Amino acid sequence: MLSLFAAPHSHVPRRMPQVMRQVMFAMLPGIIGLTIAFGPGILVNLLLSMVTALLTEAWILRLRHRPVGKTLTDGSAVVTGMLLAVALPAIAPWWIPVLGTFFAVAVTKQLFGGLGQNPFNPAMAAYAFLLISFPLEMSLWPQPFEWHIAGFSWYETADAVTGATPLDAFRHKGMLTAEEFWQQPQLLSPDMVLAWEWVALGWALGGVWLLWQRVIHWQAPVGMLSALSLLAAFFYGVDPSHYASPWFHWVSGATLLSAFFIVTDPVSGATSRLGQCFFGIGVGILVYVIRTWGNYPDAVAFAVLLMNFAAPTIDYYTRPRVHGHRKAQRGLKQKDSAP
Amino acid sequence: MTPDFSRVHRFHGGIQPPEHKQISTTMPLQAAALPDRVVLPLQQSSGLMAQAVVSVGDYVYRGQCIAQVKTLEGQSSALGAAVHASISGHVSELATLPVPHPGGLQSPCIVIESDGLDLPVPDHVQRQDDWQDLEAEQLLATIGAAGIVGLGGAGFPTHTKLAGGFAQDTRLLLINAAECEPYITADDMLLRQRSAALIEGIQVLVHLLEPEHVVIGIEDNKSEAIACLRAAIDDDSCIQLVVVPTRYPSGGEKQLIQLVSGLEVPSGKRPIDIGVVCQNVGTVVAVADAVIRHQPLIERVVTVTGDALAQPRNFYVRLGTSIEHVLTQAGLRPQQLQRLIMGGPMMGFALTDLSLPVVKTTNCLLAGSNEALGAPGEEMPCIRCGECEAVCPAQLLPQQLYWFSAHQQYQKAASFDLWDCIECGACAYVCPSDIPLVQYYRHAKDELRVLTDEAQKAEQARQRFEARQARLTRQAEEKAAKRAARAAKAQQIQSASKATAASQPKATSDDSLSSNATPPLSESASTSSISPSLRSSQQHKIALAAAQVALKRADKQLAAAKARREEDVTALEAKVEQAREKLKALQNVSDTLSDTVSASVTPATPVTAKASGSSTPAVSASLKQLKITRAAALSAVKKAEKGLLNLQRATDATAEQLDAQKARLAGAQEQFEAAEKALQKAQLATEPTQESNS
Ligand code: SF4
Ligand code: SF4
Repeated sequence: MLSLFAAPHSHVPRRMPQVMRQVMFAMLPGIIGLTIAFGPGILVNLLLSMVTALLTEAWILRLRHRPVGKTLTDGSAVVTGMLLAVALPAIAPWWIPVLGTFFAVAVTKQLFGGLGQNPFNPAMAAYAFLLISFPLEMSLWPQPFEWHIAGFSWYETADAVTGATPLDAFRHKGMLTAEEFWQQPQLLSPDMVLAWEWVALGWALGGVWLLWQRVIHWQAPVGMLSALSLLAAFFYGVDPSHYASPWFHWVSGATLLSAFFIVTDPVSGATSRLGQCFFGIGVGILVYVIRTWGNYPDAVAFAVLLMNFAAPTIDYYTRPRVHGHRKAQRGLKQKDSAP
Repeated sequence: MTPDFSRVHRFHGGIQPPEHKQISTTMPLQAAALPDRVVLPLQQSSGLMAQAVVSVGDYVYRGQCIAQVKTLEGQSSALGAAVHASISGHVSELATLPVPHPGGLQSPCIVIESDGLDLPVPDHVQRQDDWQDLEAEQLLATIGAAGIVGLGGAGFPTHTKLAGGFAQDTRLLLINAAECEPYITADDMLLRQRSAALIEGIQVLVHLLEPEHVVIGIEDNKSEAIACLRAAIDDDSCIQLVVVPTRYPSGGEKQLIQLVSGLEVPSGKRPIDIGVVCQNVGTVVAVADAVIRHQPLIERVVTVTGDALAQPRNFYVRLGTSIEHVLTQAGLRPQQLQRLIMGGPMMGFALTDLSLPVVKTTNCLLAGSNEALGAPGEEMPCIRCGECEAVCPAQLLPQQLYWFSAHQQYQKAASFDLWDCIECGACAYVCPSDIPLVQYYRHAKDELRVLTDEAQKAEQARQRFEARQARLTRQAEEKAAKRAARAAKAQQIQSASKATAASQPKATSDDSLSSNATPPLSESASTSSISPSLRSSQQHKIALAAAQVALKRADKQLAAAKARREEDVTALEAKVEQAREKLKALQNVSDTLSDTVSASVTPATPVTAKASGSSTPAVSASLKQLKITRAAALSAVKKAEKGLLNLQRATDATAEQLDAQKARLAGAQEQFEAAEKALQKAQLATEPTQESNS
């Protein structure tokens, strides 16, 4: 029996589930880095988030009378859960990843119509939601490398050993100059910096692999990182005693995680390559501004959400020039062309 | 813009799917065994359908013309391609049969049963005239008579395209040897064997078009064909060979033009508008065969490939040969045949019937299994990844086009340049969500075509309606004028005789009477007391007649609607009732008016005054009635309009329903206009009456 399909009759082998699997794979180095530095709590978070993501997605698809199996296997919900989990403090209470993932999948993704319809990055929206609602729990980063010594009893004394992340510490350095700040190990232990450097390296490794695999494209990450570095370099050059160095911005917080895994989210970002570049630049600028002068220690979530707002506009202003047309049609006003 | 041949340019995007070309190039290009029977569709070009010039039972020779295209008035050449017998034998059937078509179309065909002799036309003596002595028109006619169409797949009549190139300045003659679709190797194999014929064909075209540049564009994956071409091209010849990188769709006309010259064909224009004529390799060889060897187009090279064949290869196939016949000779393995595609995997279309004939545009038969070709995955939501946009050679935003097409916003899709989409399928090839994008675009284009058609039709209907209305009004006015003239004459005679009868010396001093006597009588003061009522009585007669007609029509519509068992006969019933009321009202008015007229014909002025005074309330009452009628008619029109709008919005409305509603609207409009006219006339009639009264 001959079957009828419409052209084209061949397809690139890579489809969405594969893309999602590749993203998960690329997260491994970063996850390993986090685990080495902050203990297996991160793995618990991951597990909780992934399970919650799957259950929530299945439940809501049920409610919406959508086919459950097909959509679950696309892997997008699990990736959302994972991205949130790696951004959460390693020893956050169990309900933080659960609640956050539920928010990400149910509210930010499915309430807006499911895969492909969400205007905001689900993981970042959930992170912002948690940060605003539970600022205390969201700052429970343990001292790095100490769980090796303390073993599992370490969890019971977790409260005592929490340390500030580098960004947090730097923001609270008060009147100290940067030089003085770096000389106070009780403010920011060198271990902490080292830990975050390792984590950042993990994300970078995964990101480069994704680029090499052409799962993501260079425009958004390069846009974001170069905007952030340029701003940081400028202010650092002007006044190194009060502003952190570009390197510090690169390795601390979620900079590299977001550069390779968050701003490259196709759904909530700009869609054209040029637009993605602008999107990345916007995120980079906002991250620096919020980190330096804002109220929150890490700014990635808010920067990404703000740029999500701007994405449709970016799309309108980055329309390419169509073959055979003199000029690109750009802007919000569309002129109708006759067929 | 000037073309720049100094380097190979690039086009936006493009994809590099697995080529699968080598599997069909291992065996040499040979003629396929002759079929016992050929089915030749009359429509084998993108132009007009040919008309059969043979009948059932006729004996035809190979190469004999069996169907021709009529040249339309005002055109120098026929916009279509002739069809020739591809084998000798008897015409056994002239019938409508299934033809290769994405929509499974049936079309008129000529069927020839072979006599196994394959005899060429006997009086086919080699003509002695040298083609180089031929005039351009003769050359074009020769090419047209050979039935040549674009063999790359589009099937545009070649002589028509060349005539366009001849009429305008051809700067660049571009020979398309890119053959960018995976699997297809027909041009490649043809070049390996017949490069010399290609050069001959190019010489014919150069003779005809006198282009400034001649370029052959070929993808760099055909090294053997490139070597053959290099050998065939004289060093001093003006032909330039441009090797372009292998990247689909480099063989797209617009893309190849951009690759070799850097020029872009402006949106909505043809290549010739920027001085480019693009011809496919196979077409040019066919031109050489037709002009130099006097052979019409009766066979073509077909790539027969795919994993359902034991010996994938290329054949010269006589047109009209059944696909099954061709596949069998390439060692068909039926159990592996799950997909049959005519054309390449990117732009070809799937077929389910092995008995379909090979036609002029069949460049490839791809017979494969689902494993090899890959069944399409399930369609998922668009994740706006932009992969499609990155590969689109037209630099469109396929994801936006998809969004608008899928949400029926076809105009919006058009404003995002849907019409510049060449349907190459690159976007659908890379889409990770497996969205059949090209299907959406085709559908949107179809819908837009329907919309434009409908808009045109509606415009035509409106114009027709208005013209008819104008005609009717004119006729009515003419009639009224004639009657008024007649009545005035009668009146004049009457009053004249009365004036003579009265013939008193005082009469001359009487202004009214003296002017009354002066012909022609139209708007003179003395008649003003009489003529308005008289005129209005006549106009009312017309209105009366119109109302009677309207009533009859409404009655008829009602009966028809009842016969059709339509639901909303109530509206029509109301209409009939309205028409009846209007008729009654008009009858009342005319009764009153005829009273007035009979009263006013008496010459005494005071009587007239009195009479018109007495008639005023009656007239104003009937005026009111008319106004009510008019309002009712207007609301009927509004209602019908709304109904029509609703029907047009509803997706499931049938054409019959729409037509019925349109007829209803037209009826209501007529009714309204009649009522309006009656009202105006009545108003006109009453105003002067009242004036004279005061
Ligand atoms: S490739 Fe498919 S999923 Fe990606 S933006 Fe285009 S249509 Fe959407
Ligand atoms: S099919 Fe149309 S939209 Fe898709 S890549 Fe080709 S030209 Fe672009």
